[in-house]
Amino acid sequence: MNDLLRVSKLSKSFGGLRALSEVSFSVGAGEIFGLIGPNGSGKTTTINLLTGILPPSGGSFWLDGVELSHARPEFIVRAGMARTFQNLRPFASQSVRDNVRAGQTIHCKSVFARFNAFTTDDEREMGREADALIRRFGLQERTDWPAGSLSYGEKKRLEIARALAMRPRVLLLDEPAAGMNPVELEWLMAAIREIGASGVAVLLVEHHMKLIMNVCHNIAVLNFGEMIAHGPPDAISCDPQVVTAYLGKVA
Amino acid sequence: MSYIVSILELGGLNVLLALSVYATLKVGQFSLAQVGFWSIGAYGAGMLTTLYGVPLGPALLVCGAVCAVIGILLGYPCLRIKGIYLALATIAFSEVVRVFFHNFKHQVERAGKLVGPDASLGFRGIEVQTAWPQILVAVVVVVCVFAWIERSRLGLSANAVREDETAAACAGVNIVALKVGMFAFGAFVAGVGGGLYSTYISFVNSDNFGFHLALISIFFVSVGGTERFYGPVIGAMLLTALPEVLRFAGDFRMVVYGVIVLVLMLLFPRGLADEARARAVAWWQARQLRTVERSGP
Repeated sequence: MNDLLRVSKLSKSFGGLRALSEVSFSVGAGEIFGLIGPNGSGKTTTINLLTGILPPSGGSFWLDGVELSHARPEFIVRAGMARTFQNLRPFASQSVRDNVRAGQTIHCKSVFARFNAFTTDDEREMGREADALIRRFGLQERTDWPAGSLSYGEKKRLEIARALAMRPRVLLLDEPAAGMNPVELEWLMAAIREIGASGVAVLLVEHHMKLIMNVCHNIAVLNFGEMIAHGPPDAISCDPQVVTAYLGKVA
Repeated sequence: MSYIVSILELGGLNVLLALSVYATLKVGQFSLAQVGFWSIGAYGAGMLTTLYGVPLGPALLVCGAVCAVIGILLGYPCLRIKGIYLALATIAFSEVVRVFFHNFKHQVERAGKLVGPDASLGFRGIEVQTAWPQILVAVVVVVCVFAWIERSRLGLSANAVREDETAAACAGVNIVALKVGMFAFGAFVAGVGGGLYSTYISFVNSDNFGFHLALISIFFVSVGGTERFYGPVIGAMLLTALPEVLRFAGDFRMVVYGVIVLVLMLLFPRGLADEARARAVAWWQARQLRTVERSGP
């Protein structure tokens, strides 16, 4: 696979704390790449750096050859990188449909289209696309509900739908399985595989090992901000450093 | 009848003030600078019309444009601050403007009389050019613009920024442009509203544009609601009429007014319009769920 997202020696320090230390990896189109590690290992920091929420202290990253290391979040989204949040952040008082529509706004054909209050052909087309995404994520019964009144699992699905509405080339999922029941987990696995199969590169940050081992093509393991292992799921599951990082050493 | 018309005229002017506050609140910025822009509009339009004979319409547009430019200059650095710090910075701006007009003297002889701002004595003799038709036109135009924004993707983005700035940025919203743009638009509305006020009331004094007016402008929006444009409209009309309705309370009128505002805020913490909308949505959701349960699997 050609590298769509390339990360080189990405680092982040908060004062004296080194949260991420020279982490490098790459993700190809259609690849599902897992990023795992204990709490505080730098997984969410990596996503925050890749989406421009935090500026990196060192290192660089490129999306399809375009360097985005110090770009603003909206520019990174327009370049094709969308994300979900670990702590769910739907626009609570807006309807499910408006949440998805908010994700589509970057694809308006002109700046003037954003000021338009009438229903144009483009708007109708985007509306159909939003409705299709809402159906795909099983939220059709909730289309006009405020996002704040959805259940936890529904909010998770809405966040993925909103991110996909941005038509990303790279999708960053921050712990999408947290709090999901087994049925929802099976559904999530299928959804992530489908997203990958459509050619979108997926960077999956997760604690849920069943999900990671089942859907990822490659996995990187972080511990105290450093990458301690990198490879396919089979190799990672037997790596002694990974086992130690997760389970600790035998006394 | 003319008494009711005057209350409606004042209500219309207050709607403009409330909507100018709402423009910044729509993108999550709590600004008290609107009073500063209101006074710039009031003095500016008063001077342009009375001292230099500029027709009302162009005078209002000039005042609105000047306020919008100042709004951009103030709004951009204010992006770095939020919450209480933004409130303090913007009230400081309003105070700077108030003190400026408190000391500003620029009088010109017209028909054998000196007219114009006379420092702490205020600006007397502003030519009255505004009545209910001008106020009505301005309110209708501004309300239509807000309704337009609400329906467009601009409104969608603004709501997203108000709810969660980080998530909005990650949805591709240009936070800087939107916040500064809405700040400038709010300043424009306040400038036009201030101009209508001075040419309606014929006398302005810098002391009228102090912290008290800033607080009242926030009341309009808080009582009406901050999420949709009709909230501030309802709040401003209600709180303009309330002191008149309470005249029976005599000297305790404003005490009762304060108590009613307090009770309204406690009972409807999201504002009247937003609370009503939220309750209607909750009722509709419950009805939808009941229908699903009845129809069964």
